Amino acid sequence: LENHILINERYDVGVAAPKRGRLAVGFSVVFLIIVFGFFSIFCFFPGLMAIDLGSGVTAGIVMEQGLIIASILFSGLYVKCAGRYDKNDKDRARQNAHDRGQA
Amino acid sequence: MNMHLINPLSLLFFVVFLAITIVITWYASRKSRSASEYFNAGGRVGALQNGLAMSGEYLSAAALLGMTGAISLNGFDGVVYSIGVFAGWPLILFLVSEPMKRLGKFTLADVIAWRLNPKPIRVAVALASLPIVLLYLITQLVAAGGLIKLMFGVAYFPGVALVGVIMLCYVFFGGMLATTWVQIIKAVLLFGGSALLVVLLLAKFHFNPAEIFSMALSRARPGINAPTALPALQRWDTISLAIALLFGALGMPQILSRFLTVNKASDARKSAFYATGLVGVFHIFVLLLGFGALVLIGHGDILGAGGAGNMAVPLLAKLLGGDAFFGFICAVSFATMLAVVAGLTLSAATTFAHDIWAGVVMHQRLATLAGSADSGAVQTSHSAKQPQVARIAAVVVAIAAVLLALRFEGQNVAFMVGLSYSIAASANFPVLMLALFWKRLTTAGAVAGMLCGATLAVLMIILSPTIQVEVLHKALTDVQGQWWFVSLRNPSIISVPFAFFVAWSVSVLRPSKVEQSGFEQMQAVLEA
Repeated sequence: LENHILINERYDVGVAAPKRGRLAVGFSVVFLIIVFGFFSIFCFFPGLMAIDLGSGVTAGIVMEQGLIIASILFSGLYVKCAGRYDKNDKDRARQNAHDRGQA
Repeated sequence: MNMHLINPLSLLFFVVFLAITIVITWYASRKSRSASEYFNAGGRVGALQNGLAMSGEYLSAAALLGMTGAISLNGFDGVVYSIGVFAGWPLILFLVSEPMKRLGKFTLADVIAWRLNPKPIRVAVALASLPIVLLYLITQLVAAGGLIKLMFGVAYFPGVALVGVIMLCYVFFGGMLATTWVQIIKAVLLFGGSALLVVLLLAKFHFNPAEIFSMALSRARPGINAPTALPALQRWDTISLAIALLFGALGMPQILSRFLTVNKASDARKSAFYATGLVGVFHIFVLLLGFGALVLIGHGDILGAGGAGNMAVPLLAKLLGGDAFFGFICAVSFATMLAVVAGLTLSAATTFAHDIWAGVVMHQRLATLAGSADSGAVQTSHSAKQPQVARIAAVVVAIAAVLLALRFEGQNVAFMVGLSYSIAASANFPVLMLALFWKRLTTAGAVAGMLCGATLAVLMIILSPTIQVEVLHKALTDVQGQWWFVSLRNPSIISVPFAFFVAWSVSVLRPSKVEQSGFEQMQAVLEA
């Protein structure tokens, strides 16, 4: 299973690389929409952030804190997805190498 | 309120910090003999350690004192900086953490130049990166001098000189290993100190954060807990600032080179996640501390303490934790400045030694020796000399930065931070993204994009009110009518797309099949 030469031979970079890039770009696009959504509301619709939710807490304060917490969770999700992606890929390559070795 | 006092506890905490970091530097100096050990700690730093070091590198005294002070004086309007600075981190995780580790050796230029002609790329990256680091370094030193004067009562010149000497010791003797541990210790102290301050603050309000905001409304102006409606131009200026902060983080050489200190790509990813979490939690603290200081200290007293709001956190610490805690927070602020300037100096020295000296000057010499019997020995000798060259560069950078910091005493240098982020966002970020994700990028396109982006950013700031009115003290009405005047204070909304456009158009007009084929090989390395 540790035969890296066999793994490398069976590893299709042309297929795997764009998949990894898509994962990173996909997460980035979603994140950028959320962040620029926040800044757009801040600049162009400040009234929305001024809505009082009670006890002096405004929608803006909740949005700011929510954005930070959501970003951390989103980052954690990416790390998990990328880790799973790496593991699946490695397992597949090992399996292919194993099959080929037996053949 | 008179804060000009030498607090013995501040000195005690600071001396303890200094003693620990000097021992670490001594230990690291014995471990930093080869180029790899000096520049990237031999790639032996763990993911959590690197996450702490990166957050330590990123969170300067401006984050602890400046942003909290801005919120305590301006209310919710101050969160623009906070969110802008934080939001760069998830993007660093998604887009650059793994590629930096997989493609880089010591610097950002290694990654951009991977499939392109390395010499012009290294020169262009160094031309963009050195000003980014130097401008940031000068700002930090000027702020350090002012704050040391404010907190410890030490005069500006000895304060700046002391910071310069200590930062040089870390970099000169300990290299990346010592600098990393200084950042880790600083990050732990910074988070520990701010977390304790937040707990003390919340205890004062029955652990109900809503009470803080409610009292802020009654103690300050109405609407302090919501954004102020901005005029049309300022709206776009704020968006432009957000672009600079958000994308500038992805072009900061001192941050990106930290991914080279870990062992593997998955560790780079994890360390970026840890840094995201730490920076994020810290910015949650910033909002609470800013409003807490406003309620408990008051707008007038914060302003009266001087430093444009910078004393809000130390005053809050004194109120909630007494002299001991005040001393601790002052010492943490000083440690924060030291750690950040050390990281910046190392980054500038590495860029010079690896990209300019080894990548351009010595590369040329080796090319002339190619094929001769001596070429192998000369190459080994050059590689071994890189840390020495970096040490000399660090001395030059430190002396230049201290002299410039002395020259700028008492002047408004805040524009330099904006300039630093704008150059990073306009020069390094677009080309780094195109190098990683666009097959058709060429050397000519990358160099043109970097230089045009950086030049436009600098030019627009020089022609903006930031320099014309605030630094050169011209009347706004005099310059407003001039044809060359740029109304925007932050150029990134124009300079970032411009850099992308230049890099794209030059690459399309002058395509290179060889460099395009290198993209496939790069993908293979990224997947290795």
